[in-house]
Amino acid sequence: MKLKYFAWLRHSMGCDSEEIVLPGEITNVGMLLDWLPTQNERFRRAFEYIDVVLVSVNSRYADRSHPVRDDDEVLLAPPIAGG
Amino acid sequence: MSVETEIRFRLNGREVALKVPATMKTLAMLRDQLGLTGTKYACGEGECGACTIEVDGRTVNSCLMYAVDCDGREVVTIEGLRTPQGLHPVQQAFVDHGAVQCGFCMPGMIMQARNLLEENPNLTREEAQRGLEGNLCRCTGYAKVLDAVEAVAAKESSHE
Amino acid sequence: MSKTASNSPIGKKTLIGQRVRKPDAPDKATGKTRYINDMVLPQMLIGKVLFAGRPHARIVRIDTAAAEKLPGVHAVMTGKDAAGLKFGFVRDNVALKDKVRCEHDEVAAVAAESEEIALRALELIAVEYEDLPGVFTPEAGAAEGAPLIHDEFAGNRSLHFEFKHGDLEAAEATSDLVVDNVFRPHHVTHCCMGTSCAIADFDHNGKLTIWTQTQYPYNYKMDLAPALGIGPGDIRVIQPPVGGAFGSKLDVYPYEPIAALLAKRTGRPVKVIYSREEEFRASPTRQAAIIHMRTGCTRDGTLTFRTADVLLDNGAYTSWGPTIPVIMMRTTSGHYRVPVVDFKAQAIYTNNPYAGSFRGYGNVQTTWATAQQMDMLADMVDLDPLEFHLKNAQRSGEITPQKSFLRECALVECLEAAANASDYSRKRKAYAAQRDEPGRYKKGIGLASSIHNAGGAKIHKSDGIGTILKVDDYARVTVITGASEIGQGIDAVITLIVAEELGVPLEHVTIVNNDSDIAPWDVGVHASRTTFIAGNGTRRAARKAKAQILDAAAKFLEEPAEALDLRDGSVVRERDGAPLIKLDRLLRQMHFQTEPEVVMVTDYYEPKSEPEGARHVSDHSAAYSHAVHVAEITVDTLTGEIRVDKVTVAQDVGRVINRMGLEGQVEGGIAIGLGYALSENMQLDKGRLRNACFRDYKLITAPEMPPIEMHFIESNCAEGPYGAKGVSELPTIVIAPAIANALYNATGVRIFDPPMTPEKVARAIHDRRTQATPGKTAVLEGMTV
Repeated sequence: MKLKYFAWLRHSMGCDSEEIVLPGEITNVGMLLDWLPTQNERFRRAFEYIDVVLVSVNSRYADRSHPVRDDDEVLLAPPIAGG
Repeated sequence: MSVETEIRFRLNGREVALKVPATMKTLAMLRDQLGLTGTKYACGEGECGACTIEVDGRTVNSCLMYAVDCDGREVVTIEGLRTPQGLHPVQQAFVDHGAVQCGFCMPGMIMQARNLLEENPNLTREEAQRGLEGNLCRCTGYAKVLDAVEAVAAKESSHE
Repeated sequence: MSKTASNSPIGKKTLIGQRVRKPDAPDKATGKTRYINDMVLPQMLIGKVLFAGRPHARIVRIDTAAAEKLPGVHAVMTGKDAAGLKFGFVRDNVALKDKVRCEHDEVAAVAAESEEIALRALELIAVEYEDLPGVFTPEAGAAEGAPLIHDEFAGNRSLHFEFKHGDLEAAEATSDLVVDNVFRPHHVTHCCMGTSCAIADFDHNGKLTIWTQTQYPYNYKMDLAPALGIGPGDIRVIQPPVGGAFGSKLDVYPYEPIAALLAKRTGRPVKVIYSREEEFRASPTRQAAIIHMRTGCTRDGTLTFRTADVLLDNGAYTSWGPTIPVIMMRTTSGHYRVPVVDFKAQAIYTNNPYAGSFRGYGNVQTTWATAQQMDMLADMVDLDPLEFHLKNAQRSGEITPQKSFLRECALVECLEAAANASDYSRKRKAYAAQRDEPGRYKKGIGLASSIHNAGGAKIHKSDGIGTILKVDDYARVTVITGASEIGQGIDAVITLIVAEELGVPLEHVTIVNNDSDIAPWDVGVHASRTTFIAGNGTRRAARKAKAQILDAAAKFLEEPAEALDLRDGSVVRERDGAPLIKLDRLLRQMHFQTEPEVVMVTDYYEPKSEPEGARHVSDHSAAYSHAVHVAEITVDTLTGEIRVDKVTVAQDVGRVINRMGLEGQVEGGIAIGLGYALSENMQLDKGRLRNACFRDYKLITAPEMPPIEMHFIESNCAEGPYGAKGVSELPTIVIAPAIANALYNATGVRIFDPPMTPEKVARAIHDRRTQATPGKTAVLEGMTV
């Protein structure tokens, strides 16, 4: 699975994107968001407030129930507060 | 080290005596020494009118006037307009006509508007526009300020 | 004891659409209101910032020893005290800098017992700089070998955005006419009358209280926290009355964490406040852009495509300015029916001051381009622009390429109302015919329109609001709302809605909305959302309270709740208005019965809208609306001065709630747009601002405001409170191109680089007159038509 980061998540993760192997038991966005912070210290710190992060799966906005597969491209974007 | 001078003047109808540094501006004296924060700092260089007060019947930018020059004079600030009976007619008109949004420029605007109306109770809208040219407002576009001033002028002329 | 009050029936009256006074107006008019700028706390110190004063430099050495020794100085801090505490949307900023990247970079800060001492301390700080070559345009920043402003951002490349829809090549092939222009919307700034100010204080548990001018208090905590290395939960945000905001307070700016760092170091409250010059130099700007736009149509005037290639001057740090493409693309794809769209935007770091949000947020810049191109195409297909607009205007139920659902669309009604009221078509023809006749003064009339969000913008997972409402034993209502009051009048709207629903006097409603420890969440004041979102939230909460009250009344009165209503401080029979019991009496009966019942309700309202995802396709607002402006001007062709004689506005507001407040928002928004169009300009010279004062940065003044004739079109938005939509940005968005189009009508010249100053206008008129072919459009600076 390709994880792409936007805005300050790039700084927190130290890269624009990376490949991970999605465990078989992770089947939707909600499970992915719950699992990512447990991976290592870098993930834990970056995703401390993961619930505000907007997720796109293959460029479409996805809520927690949206399915995910290992060959998906997932963009994680913090909110744009100004407008 | 600042030279201090004792001054006495009438402020909003009452005698006041205090010591002020020679370099202090009237705006700072009002806000910092006398706790009258209605008069605002918004530029400090006489360009915006937010610090407008009345001295001996004329409006001035208090940010440009030295505090020591208040000595012996009659000074009126926004706090001096209302009475125990209620708001000054100009203040009430500003409230009634929706002229107040963020309100930061309003003390200066009201002081200037009141002075214009006292000089010329039959002030036209165009004359009010000219007279308020030195009072900057970023919220209202001045439209309801002018409505309020026109309304007060109309009331005053209907009493004649 | 009689339960009834008076015997006369109370008819149903409504406050919706009435003129309601702003609740805080009397205190503001008497000078009683304590703005944050006026606040003094016990033990408070004054903080001042040492700005770099140069656009790009290494900081070699800072010597603060002399400053620290000055009597009355409690702390001197520099970049080492903020090292690693990165904040900002891309985490490219710190409160005190390690390197200078723009003129207003904060190099050091002092907390002292008075402003005078703090300023003297700043003078005693010795900084040794090594100046670096700078870049002052996005083109220069993007060039090969350009000096790097941030090590982490190669090529000085900041954010980029893209949206494509349809087959562009095919659309170009079917187009009979194409306009292709470059527009350069410029740097302007908010000029809030109250200068930037923050007061910070820590308690003994390490919890920060910050008094701030923020207009987004809850997300502000998340954005401030990393600048201080504390958790967002340990920040209490208090919002005193402010002297304007207009979008400038939608982000965290360095003076705020500086106040907090100084407070932490000194153990005392610290107030940082800007002078007006500091305000001009150091507060955020509107996003400047270079917009290369192309619009095509067929010979019969049907739009075929619109493309925009946008280069943004990111400035030294990334705040909200470079995120405006999210809205720019909505206008590019949704301003009239456009079958094919190609939008891309790239922000490039420069050593210029950086942009935040500003009323209109990208739509000011985009509509400046789209509305002029609409006018140009109309001319080229020889159609009255009104006809051209009507031909391409969407109707209710249409969906744009980005899936904005125009459920209630009143663009046609707005066009017709504004054009008819101003006699647009006849005047336009008449003035065009006069263009080349002798005469110094030329009249012109111009029409422009735009579309904007009117029901929030789901750029957050939650675009909602919490409301807590209680009614006490005296029928006094308190509304604890997340909605921030920044002068725009949401206090009046909330008061009105509560009075409407509960039948209480306006004066009996109190609003609490200025303490994040007390009030529930709201996204903030942006995207013209507050009337819509807070209005809905308030109405829902008030109706819950009403239901509870009428249920209790039904028990006491032995009448069905559905047969009852609340009017004028009484419970009445709905059918005939017969008063049955005074409301306050009922509330006391409810409270002081065996099992007490007190009215306290809560509500969380989330609008129906969808985040747009990486492809930027979604119905991201719960409503959209349109405005049309017709500007009538007189141009002095000798001096180039434009005098705006009249503006006719037609705006789809859904439903008028507070008529007086609504008018004020239109008038004020137009004033800001007029300044943008005619006179405001930050004159940046290699990153240094040359006109940092009101004398040289010209705001619109009272004599320059034209009369404004307003037509509020009520499209009755199904999702909005009483049918209302958000309103406050469109007035700023639409006026500038309306004037540009009027200038063309009057003189045959177009200006693509605002502001349309007398010098520019005079030169363009002169150039046109001295050109070979009369009747040809003269355009400044080598653009092509």
